Amino acid sequence: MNRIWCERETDVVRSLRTGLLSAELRDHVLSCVVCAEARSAAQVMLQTASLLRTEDGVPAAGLVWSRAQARKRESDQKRATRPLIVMRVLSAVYVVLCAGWALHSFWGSVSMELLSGLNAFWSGTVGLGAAIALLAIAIGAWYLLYDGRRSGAGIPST
Amino acid sequence: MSEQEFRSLYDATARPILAYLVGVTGRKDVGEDLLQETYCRFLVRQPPSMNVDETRRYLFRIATNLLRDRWRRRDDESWQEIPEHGFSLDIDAQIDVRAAMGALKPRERELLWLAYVEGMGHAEIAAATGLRTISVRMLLFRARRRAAGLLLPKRETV
Repeated sequence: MNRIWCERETDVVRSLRTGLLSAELRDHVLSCVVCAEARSAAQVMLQTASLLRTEDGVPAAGLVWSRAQARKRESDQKRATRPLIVMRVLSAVYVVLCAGWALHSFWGSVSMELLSGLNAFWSGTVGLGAAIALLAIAIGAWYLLYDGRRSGAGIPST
Repeated sequence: MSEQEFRSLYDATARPILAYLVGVTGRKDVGEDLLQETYCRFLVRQPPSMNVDETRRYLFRIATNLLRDRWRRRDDESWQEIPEHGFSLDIDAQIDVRAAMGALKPRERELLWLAYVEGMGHAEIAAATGLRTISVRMLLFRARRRAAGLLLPKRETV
């Protein structure tokens, strides 16, 4: 069975970095497939690393800090407006449920007696209360949705 | 974390992470973008206090996740755009670094870079990549074998 690692691998790779390969380690590399492969692979990587000299290319720390602060503010605002978004969704769901309930009641009245049912529904205290509540909720939900759309869901873009 | 603390952390860790990102993607512009994103995420998440080594591994972990996100979106799987003047054949080993790096899979480049350029052990690579140590050992074995295999035909023709 092939070995998949060797405890001398680190020494072999270190020798590539330092350029110091002892005779004993050289003999080991010649007899150890793992270390021979590691040496070849490490050569490719180290040569690549030496070609990609990035000393001058690191973006300024201040730039990264400013960008992170802006991102942090954005994230905080998102977190702060999350309850409002939940309220908007709940309002919309509530409106749909109320509308469904009102339609159901109306349909029930119509099926019994079209005109008298309609009168009973609208003249009844429950029907009137439901209509007022529905109207208030609809206005509130509309305002929240309108306000959210106008301000980009309450989250300013940076 | 204060700006001063961030600056000293950045000065100590940014260069090897940028080299890793550029080395694995083969693109300096992408490497710089990902480096900034790495530190932004680090600052926004505000991880609990860690020592220097843990912070370094954590930053490599974020960088590795960002690389994976790019490859998942298939933004750039190929290793490219390294300036032509920086490439030459290694006289001793006849290694065409560009061809060898280009032929490796992104994950192979990641693992080989961490192991041979950063000098990380299997456990450290596991912490930096989110893989299990046993998986790192196996994947590194395959990557190493593949990288070494890419060099063999050239050596035989010399």
